[in-house]
Amino acid sequence: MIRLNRREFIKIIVASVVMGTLAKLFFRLPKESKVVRPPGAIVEEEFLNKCIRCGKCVAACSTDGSGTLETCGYLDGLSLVGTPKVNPIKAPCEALFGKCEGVLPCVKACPTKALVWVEPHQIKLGSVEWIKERCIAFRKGGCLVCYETCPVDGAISVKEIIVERHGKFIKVKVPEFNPDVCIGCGRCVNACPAAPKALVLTSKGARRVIPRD
Amino acid sequence: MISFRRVIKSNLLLIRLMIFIIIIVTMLYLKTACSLITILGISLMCPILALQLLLINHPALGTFTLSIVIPMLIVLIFGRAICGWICPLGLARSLINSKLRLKRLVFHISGKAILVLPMVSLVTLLFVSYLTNYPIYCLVCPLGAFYRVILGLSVMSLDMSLLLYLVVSLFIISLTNIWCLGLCPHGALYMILGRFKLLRVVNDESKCIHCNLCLRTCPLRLQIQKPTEHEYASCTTCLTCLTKCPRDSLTVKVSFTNKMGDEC
Repeated sequence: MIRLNRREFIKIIVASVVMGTLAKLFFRLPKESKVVRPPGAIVEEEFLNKCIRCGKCVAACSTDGSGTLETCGYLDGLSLVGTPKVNPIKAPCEALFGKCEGVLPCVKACPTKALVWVEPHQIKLGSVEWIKERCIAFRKGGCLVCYETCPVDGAISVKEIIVERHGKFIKVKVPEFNPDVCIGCGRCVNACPAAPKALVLTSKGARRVIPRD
Repeated sequence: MISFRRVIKSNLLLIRLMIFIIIIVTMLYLKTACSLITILGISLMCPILALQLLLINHPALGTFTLSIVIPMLIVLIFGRAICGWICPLGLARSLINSKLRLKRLVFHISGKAILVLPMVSLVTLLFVSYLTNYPIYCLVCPLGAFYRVILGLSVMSLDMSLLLYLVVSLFIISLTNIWCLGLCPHGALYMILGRFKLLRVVNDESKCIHCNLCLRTCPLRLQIQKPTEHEYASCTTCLTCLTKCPRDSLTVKVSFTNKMGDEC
């Protein structure tokens, strides 16, 4: 029933070709992840190809309304819109030393195998960055909440440094972060009492799964 | 006996508002974005996403075959009635327009352009996704932004950039008729698939006084008095014209053709 004459058909083809070439020229998928992905995420390029942005992992994470996963918005980058990200400020990821250990509801909810099953000891979402100027332990001393909440041995240690305060040199205890041991669960970020937070969870050093097929 | 026309005439806005609220509550309960909704074990997928996945040869497509077929069947029967009654942006648009009475930027499109414009939009989108090997429309889909905002509300984390994008796109949709008429690929697909839809608004020539009120009140500015086949395919069956008609010459018919039946 759909009848098109030649001129209109040519218009459609030309418009598509122009738009397609423009998109092909300017559209690039990021090679490395800018946001922290949920546990079991396959390597970023494959992940972006397989993820259909259905939001099932986000819903599975927040069955009681307090999960860590949320969908990326436009500020995270256009090609990431709708994909899941870990937001430790909302809640830490419980995939290791938590209620999700050995369960991983987000992985089970994924319909396209963009998230695949990983053994608990292989999970590493990223690492934590310490912003010295915001840290209460560095500025005033006394706070070591991140060290107290960290479930991983050796990820956060305490060291004493000598700083200058009002012309005097005093000793303060500050946390020291070991990015190789850190699993990126975000408990320290969640617990950090400074405002704005002195700790930022980044995807640096994340261990991504290489898909088998 | 309560006549269908009387109910529609007095309560059209209320019915729309109710459907809108029901959709939002359902989405809050289902906790899912637009692309995959599982109801009673059957997954329904957005047909535009499905088409794009088909083109880019997505590895997991095989598991979604049923989820593509079922929306297509619904579309084949109802055509663009989905735009008028289920699309949350379409509902929001009609609610905004009936309450705020904004001055709209209206494009009068008639003839074959009604068919060509959506076709251009759909073909372009599919071609772009094919070239970039990525479901690229889903990144800018206003409907997707709506569902992601609802998903964000249901998991207690609302992304402000998505909300801003939704509000801006909703205003663009409300202030013009060009999006729903020619640019939205969902509408284009439903129009192409639903050419032989069952529900049609038909005009009784003997009652019509040619006041053109139906044209002026139509959200898409479709000429429903003496429509062509393309205009029938583009009609969203939103029934705004039916409520405004002073002589009740417009009726909803269940038929495959655009001819007025002999039985009425």
